[in-house]
Amino acid sequence: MEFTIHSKLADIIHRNYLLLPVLNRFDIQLGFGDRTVEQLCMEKGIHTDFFLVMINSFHDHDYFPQERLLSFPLELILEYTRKSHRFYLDFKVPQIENMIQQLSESADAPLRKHFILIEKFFAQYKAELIEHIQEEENNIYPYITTIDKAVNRGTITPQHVVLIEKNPIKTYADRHDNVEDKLYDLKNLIIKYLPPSQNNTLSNSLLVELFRLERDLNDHARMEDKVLFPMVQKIENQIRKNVL
Amino acid sequence: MTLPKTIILSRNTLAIRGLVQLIHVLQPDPKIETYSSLQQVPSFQQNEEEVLVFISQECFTRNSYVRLEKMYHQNPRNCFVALTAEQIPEQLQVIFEHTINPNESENQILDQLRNIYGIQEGSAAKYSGNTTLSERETEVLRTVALGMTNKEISDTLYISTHTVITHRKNITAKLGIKTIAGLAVYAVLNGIITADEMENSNL
Repeated sequence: MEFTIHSKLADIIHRNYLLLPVLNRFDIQLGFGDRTVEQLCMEKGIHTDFFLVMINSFHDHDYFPQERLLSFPLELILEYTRKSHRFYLDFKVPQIENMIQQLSESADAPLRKHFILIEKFFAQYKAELIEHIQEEENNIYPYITTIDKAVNRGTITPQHVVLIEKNPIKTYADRHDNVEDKLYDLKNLIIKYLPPSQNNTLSNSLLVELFRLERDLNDHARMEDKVLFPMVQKIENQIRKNVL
Repeated sequence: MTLPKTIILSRNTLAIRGLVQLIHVLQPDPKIETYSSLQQVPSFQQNEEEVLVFISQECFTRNSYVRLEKMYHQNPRNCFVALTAEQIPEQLQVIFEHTINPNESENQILDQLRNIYGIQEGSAAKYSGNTTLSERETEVLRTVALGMTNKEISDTLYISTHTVITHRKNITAKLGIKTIAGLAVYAVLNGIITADEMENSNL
């Protein structure tokens, strides 16, 4: 069942606690009382429709109203993806890193050797993820904002055309690589190939966090590939048409 | 045990019906989806449960090669089974792990299905969890883990780059590890290369 403007925030979290980080991206914290989505969004000045589509599509993977998503203001999407980036880099990745380190430190010498491999592997993954996010925030997003503004304000100049011809979003979208592959490998290395650890509870928690991060990242990638990039392509086309 | 999700792709209604019935012999309530054209099959997600995909020979048209290959790459854990009495076209041979000849007797087909689903004891099928690499695959894995390119591997092991690529695909499918860095960790964990060799492999 879809969440609606009348759903209570508390009920939403009871139904799916994985939505908590999604709520945080809208600056919503716990202690909702009996507030409904409509009430809370009004109070906080949140775009209600966008909020609903985001939680519903995260909650149910078959729910993905692409047309509706494409109709939202682009800045809303960018704001959301930026907040997700922060969540990965400031919270999720350090948390996982910590867990691997703890497991490594608590292991016997022979097993520790193996955990050091995992530590290094995760460090590589982290470096790739940071690089990927920086590329987006430092180059891609500013590009998107620039051309979006030009179209909205009707101030398209020949420079904009040069810009979109030089580096259209398609070039980036095409090589929008799978940082997820390493995460997938890490899960399998832990599930299948790493010798059993003495610290079962921590190993389990680590794995759960990896699954959560993966799920969140997949959702994120879907937003970029299916909503953000097509939106940008549309703006690029508008600029081309306008100049011709 | 529960059978993995099964997809049957065939234009032949009778073939679909027959196969569904035989799978029901193995397990009362299997998850089966049937499609009459390649376009209808939903795309697979990489992190989804593995799916067993039966594809009937009338779908092996030249136009469908690219689409089938794409489908195959969506999730390396999926297992493809050809339903044909004829030779599988060369381009598609890499995709299929098993072939069932629809002209065989009911019992023979049932045996094959048991083997494919890994129900038989000691079966080497994918679902019995057998992930042992062959000797050749282990050699290829070693070179991959050392950071060699396909060309270098082909020169070192005296095999064509095409064969190298096939081995690499199979290694990834068997182990569930896609990246070179991940394969290197696996190789060290299993003593195929040493930690020092990995250090020096500039991966």
